[in-house]
Order: sequence, then structure tokens, then C-alpha cells
Amino acid sequence: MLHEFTAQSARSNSLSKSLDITPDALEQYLKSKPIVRALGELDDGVYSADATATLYQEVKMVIAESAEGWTTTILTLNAPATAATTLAYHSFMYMVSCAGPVFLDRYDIDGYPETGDVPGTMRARLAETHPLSTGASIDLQPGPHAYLLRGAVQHTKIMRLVGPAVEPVTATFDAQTGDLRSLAYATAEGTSPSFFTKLADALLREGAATIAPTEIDAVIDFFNRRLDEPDLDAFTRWKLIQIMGRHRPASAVAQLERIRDSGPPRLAALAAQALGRR
Amino acid sequence: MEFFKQLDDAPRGRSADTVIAELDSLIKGGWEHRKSEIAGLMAELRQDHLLLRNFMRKVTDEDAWPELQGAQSYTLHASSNCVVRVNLWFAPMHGNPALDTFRRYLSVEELHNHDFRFFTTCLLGPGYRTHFYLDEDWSPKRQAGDSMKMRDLGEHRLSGADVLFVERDVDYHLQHWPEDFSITLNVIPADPPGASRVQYILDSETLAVRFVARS
Repeated sequence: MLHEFTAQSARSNSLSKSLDITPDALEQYLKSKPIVRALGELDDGVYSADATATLYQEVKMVIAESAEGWTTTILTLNAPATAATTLAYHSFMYMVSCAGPVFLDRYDIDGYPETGDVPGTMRARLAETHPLSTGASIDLQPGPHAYLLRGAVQHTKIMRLVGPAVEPVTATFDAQTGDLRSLAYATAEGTSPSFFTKLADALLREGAATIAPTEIDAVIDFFNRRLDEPDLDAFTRWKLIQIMGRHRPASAVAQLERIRDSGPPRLAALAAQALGRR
Repeated sequence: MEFFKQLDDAPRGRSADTVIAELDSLIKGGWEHRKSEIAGLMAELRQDHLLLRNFMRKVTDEDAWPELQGAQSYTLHASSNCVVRVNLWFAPMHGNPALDTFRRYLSVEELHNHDFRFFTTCLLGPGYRTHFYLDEDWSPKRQAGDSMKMRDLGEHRLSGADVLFVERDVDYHLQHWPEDFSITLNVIPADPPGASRVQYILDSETLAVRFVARS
């Protein structure tokens, strides 16, 4: 269930070792220098480059401060979102100011998205709508849910505290159809292997005429070794095997058999399917 | 903004490291009047995927994932003279894969300038479309809401064998996501001493300043 912090029910929690979210602590934190500076930057439209996270049309977001894996941002929304997003991390939101009624929709999903959950394979169902107003705060935990802010979100100003990622990806779901729309890595550590894999895949495809077999072997061997890394996310793991399958099928079959026999259930099922199609 | 068109006749057979070393040396010696030579060396790096193959080989030799810089870049060479990096561009259908905290470095679908000069070319994929404007009255002291006097330079596609040079401060562009996954190369000469550090993001309809970023 969604749990709303109000002036009466705010409680201490694990958001930060140094920040105790009582009403008094929240009030004091809102007056602290990093928050005041970030709020001022959003109001003035003049930003210090190292503090500004994004100046996209849809959202303006300024990083107020980061410490111990937690980041506090101040953001304003310029347009309603069209997709509900899962949370890969603990997120606490405080509504600094709302221009009108704002609602947080919670969608439920059958399990947190993971490998094989390509667009169209998962669906989110609207489960609950929660009204929010100026001064309200809300504590959201990672889990099989996606969230969407709607209503008078234009010019609504929010302070958000975000903790360390506990899931490898975030997923977005179409608000109208509930279909899985996209996936993005939740950490830089997850992003880089994924990006390099994409680069190598595109290069091996487009450069087929110029890339020597020894270069292909080197990449496949590299990918084979990476598959033993325990922290490698499932998406990239699956992509590596696909690339192997395209260029060195015998290596891919060995990896698929290994995953089928001892991998996590959803990945094992996918491996069995892939082997069955051969 | 300057275009160097169809540079397919660059020499072949050298290693990527040799070409990058020459690039670095050329930039060190004063490059403003030798832009076409830089463009020629970049074209050489593009041929037969010379640069990307070299990058892939180094990664496999080092046996570790490369480190990503910012939202989308791998730095291949950095010296006091210049930075050479590749940027990965994903098609919209794949969504924006950048982390929230890095998104400001992904200036796509935003009309903006840069506080550094760079050369760029497309190494892989269809590339992207960009609409260019020239600021005819540059000032580092603009505020949000200020109107701009801009010359419309039209839309261009960064693809094929072209190399593009983007001037700091005065060149503005509105870049669109590519239709398919693409990789571009940036060569960024070091800034002159004392160069101003201000970036503007404009409203693409009114051309007025929306945001100012200073560092």
C-alpha cells in the first residue's frame, strides 16, 4: 500500500542515516542551504552546470545534494507523463507546491521486470489512485509497481530523495494500454556493459565485411568470460548469448544449456525455449 | 558551423593509434586553419570501422568492461590538446537509456549551444538530423527570457562521409534522435585559456533563453 507522510503521521525511517524525516526535520531540511539553492535555481532559470541534472522540456531537475548513495533533487514538471515508471530504488517525495489537484496512480505488475520482458510481454494494471497536495509527502519502495503523476502537474514542484538502486532496471508502462514500453538501466555499472554490448553487436553486424574472424573470436571470448561475472545484469547476459548465437553458435549453446540447468527460473525458461527452437 | 563533405578518399592502412597521435599533434600545433586536415583524419578513422575495431580490440585485450563517461560516451583519447570520444545514440523506440543524473548531457530535442568546440562525424548507423542556428550577437551575460537574434542555417543530417565542425558559444542546434542506433565520433580541441563557460538552452519556438547553465 502507498504510505503517505503527513504532518501528523511522518515517521523516522531509513531514508538517510543523517536525515530523520519527522515534520520538524523535514521543515528544517527544506530550509537548508542545498535545498534553498536548488529551489532558487529552478525559480530563476539560472543553473550551476554541475548541479543541473536535466533541463528537458518535460521536467526540470536540479540535484540539491548527494551523500551515502542518496540523492536529493528538486524537480518541476512541465507536462503530464504518459507512462508509469517502476522504481529501482527507495524514493521519498515531498510536494513543495502544487498548482492544482495532483494524483499519483499506482499500477501493479506481476513481478519486477527482468530479462525477456521486452515490450508487449508485460502489462501493468491500475490499482490505486492517491491524491496529493502541497505539503504532502509519500514514501515509495521498490517493488512490482509502477507510478504515474497526473493532474495539474504543470509547475508542480517536488523534492525527491532517492536511495541506492536495488533493481538493475527501471521500466515504463504505457498509461493507456498498460503495455511495457521501455527499460533503462538503473546504475552506471549496469549501463556501461549494456552500451558496450550494443556497440559491439552493431559493429559486428554492420562491419561484417571488414572485421576479421580473429577479431570476432576475441569479442566472443570476452563475452564468454563476462558471463561468469555474478553482478552482470540479466538483460546484458541474454544479449551476449544472442550475439554468440549469431557468430559462434556452439559457444551460445553451451551457455544456454548452463542457464537452462542452473539459471534463475525466468532465464532458464527462456534458455530452454531457445534450445527447443534449434 | 562548417561542413566537410564526402571525405572518402582519405588514406588507408594506418593504425587508429597512429591517426589519433597525428590528430593530437596537429591540434597541438594550432589547428584553426587546418580544420579540413582534422576532418580528413577523422574520415580515416571511420574507414573500415578502424576506430571502433581498435576500441573493441583494446577492451577485449584489457579483459574488462570499458568505463562509460556521462550518459553515452566512451573516451578513447584524452590529452592536454584534445579529447577523442565516441557517443552512442539510441533510437526513440528503445527509450532514453540514460540515467536520470546524466540526462542533462543528452541534449537531444533541445535547442542549445556548447561552451566547447568540436568536430563530429558518424561512425555507425544512420546518424541524426540537426537544425542549426547562428547567434549573431553573442553575449555571455544573457538571462532567462532574453530574446535572441538568430540566423536559421537549416537542417542537416550527420551521416555518411561528412565531418561537421561546431563552434563554441555561437552555434546552436536542435538535434533529433536518430531513426536507428548510431555511433558518432567527437574530436574536442582544448579550450583557449580564459574561455567563458556558459551554455544557453532556448525555447525552440520563440528562440528566447529558457535556461542558463554556468560553470
